[in-house]
Amino acid sequence: MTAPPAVDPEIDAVHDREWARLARPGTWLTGAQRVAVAASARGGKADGVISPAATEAARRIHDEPATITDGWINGLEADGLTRLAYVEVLGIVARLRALDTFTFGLGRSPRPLPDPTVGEPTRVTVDGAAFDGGWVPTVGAAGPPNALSAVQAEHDALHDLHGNLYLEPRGGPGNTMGNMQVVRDGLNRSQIEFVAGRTSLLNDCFF
Amino acid sequence: MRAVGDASVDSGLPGGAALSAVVDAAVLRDEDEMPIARAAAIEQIGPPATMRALAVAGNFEMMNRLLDAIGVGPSPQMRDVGDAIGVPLPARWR
Repeated sequence: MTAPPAVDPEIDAVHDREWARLARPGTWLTGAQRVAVAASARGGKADGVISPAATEAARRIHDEPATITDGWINGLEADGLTRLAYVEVLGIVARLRALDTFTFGLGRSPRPLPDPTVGEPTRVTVDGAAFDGGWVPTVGAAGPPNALSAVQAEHDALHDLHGNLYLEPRGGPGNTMGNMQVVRDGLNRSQIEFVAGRTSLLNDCFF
Repeated sequence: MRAVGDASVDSGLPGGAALSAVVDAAVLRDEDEMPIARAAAIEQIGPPATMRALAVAGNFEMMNRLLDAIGVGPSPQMRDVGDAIGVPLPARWR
């Protein structure tokens, strides 16, 4: 059997940081609730730690994101999951899926979820976040760079993964989206975008 | 570009078929195909590039979910791109 490839140490470090973020209190959810969201997304049980609405959100975001509608999110809100808490659930699940897919591809077992740490959510709000073309508030028009911008910690975590797994969302030389000549670990920009496109097609995502 | 939507089409990229196969296996969680696709990719494009391809796939698993979950769809211009690669936009985005 061919040995799996070695992992870029920066990706292992990102994984470690994400697990630490997952375990500690977030903006709207406790550490225990955050870990329960991740467990639900993976198909496990939340043991009453999170609401049925949060459980449903975690599973649908993970398994059927292309079926999500504004009406469905309205229903979650009616059942007690605020839009901002939904953004936090979304951030957790989306990043989990990224790292679990990477792990699966390498032939590794999923990393066990961390033990949560005690503490209260920060409840920090973001000035200027408003509905602008999306179903959740964003700072500026809703789009890829700011999908989670209404919850600062989730926004920061997204960009931690994005730059280390793919490219930095900015111009300039190096591993950036503005660099059409980038070659990363021997994969050129055309190959990188081919992988991105193929993944998106499989997820029925047409952005 | 059609190779994005149809794995039987030659993308013209180095290791294109291997990239398709390893992405498909990872995203679709195909436990039987994954080691086969990974080994083929390693042979054709090397271990570091295979690792990076899986990282990129992971990133777009994340981004796809973010955009679908907040209701951000393709621009009108993307309709033409979809037609060009043989992947027309579904009704919900037209």
